[in-house]
Amino acid sequence: MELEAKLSIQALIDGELSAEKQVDIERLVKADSEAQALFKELSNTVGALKESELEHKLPETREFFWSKVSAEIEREDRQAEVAQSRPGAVAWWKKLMVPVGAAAALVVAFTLFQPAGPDVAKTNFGTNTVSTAVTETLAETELEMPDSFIFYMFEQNATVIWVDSKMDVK
Amino acid sequence: MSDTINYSEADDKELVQLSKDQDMLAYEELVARHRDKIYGRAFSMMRNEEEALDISQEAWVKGWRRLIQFHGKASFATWMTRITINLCLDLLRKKKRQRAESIEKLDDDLGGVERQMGVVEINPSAGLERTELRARIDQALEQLSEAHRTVMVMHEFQELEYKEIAKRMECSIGTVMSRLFYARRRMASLLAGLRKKDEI
Repeated sequence: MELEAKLSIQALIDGELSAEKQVDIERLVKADSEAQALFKELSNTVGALKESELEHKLPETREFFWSKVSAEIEREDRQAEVAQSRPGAVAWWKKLMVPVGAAAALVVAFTLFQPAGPDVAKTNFGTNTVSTAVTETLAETELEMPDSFIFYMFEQNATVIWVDSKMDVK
Repeated sequence: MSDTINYSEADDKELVQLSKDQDMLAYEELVARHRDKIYGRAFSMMRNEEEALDISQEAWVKGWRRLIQFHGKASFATWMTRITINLCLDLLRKKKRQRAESIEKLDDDLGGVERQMGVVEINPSAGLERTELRARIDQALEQLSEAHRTVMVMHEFQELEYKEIAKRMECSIGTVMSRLFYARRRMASLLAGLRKKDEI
């Protein structure tokens, strides 16, 4: 017997055949002894399985199991709350970025384009008197020359030396 | 509200409604009522206590989250069992990906030894007490392949139709039919074997 016929016999038992096909398969089961034997075996197995699932009890007490379920629900709730608050914080930072950025740009522009004043000289200083004092974002160090000073701008990675134009630099 | 309700006397419908309103005491009562059924279904499919416990817990957490989607077309227990079956199928798929089982899969779909097997004439349930029969079926289920057991549990115990099983297992109806057919033949052979063993 072909597999298709065997599967049709099974489908007949399960009530999954169309009315037309059902008549054909019922006829086959009546006429063919092999089909009849298979029909009987499958029917016996289906009958035995019907409402025969062994009950497996949860191996934990009501209280303990519920404590695990409720703890997981609460954990997920907390996680969801954190996830919800996060986009708000990002938006807040994004809003703040524009004015802060603009202010920073103004400060840099103002620092670089001083209208008049002492001569500005940029140099990689790195000598013993200056470099040791550079620890702040904008660190200042007085030189040994009066009326002049040096500072380091971390953002521009540059050392700026202010020298009084009226003074002789040797 | 919680002070005036006798949860243990309320029916499932009332408890579901209360749970939908975030009443966790009502949900606890639902868990207590149906926890064995949910665990039992998970265990039938996984045959592993630890996995069945994890799946049961996850099912109840999912149930709480998805209560809004429950409209009472089926009973609450049936709805929860469906969630459990889906979680079992997810885990089985995950486990399957982790191991090579091409030969086993072929056997599941085309029939291994069951293909060559003669018809079993012994009626497995004849003359047996229901409890004894249940124990034997449980023992035989343990020996089926995962694919055969899954389709059998879904059809025989969950009473799902071919189409519904195919949808959940993400395979064709033909595959469901052949897996169920070989699972039943194997089951017939295993039950007959257990019977013969007793008679010796």
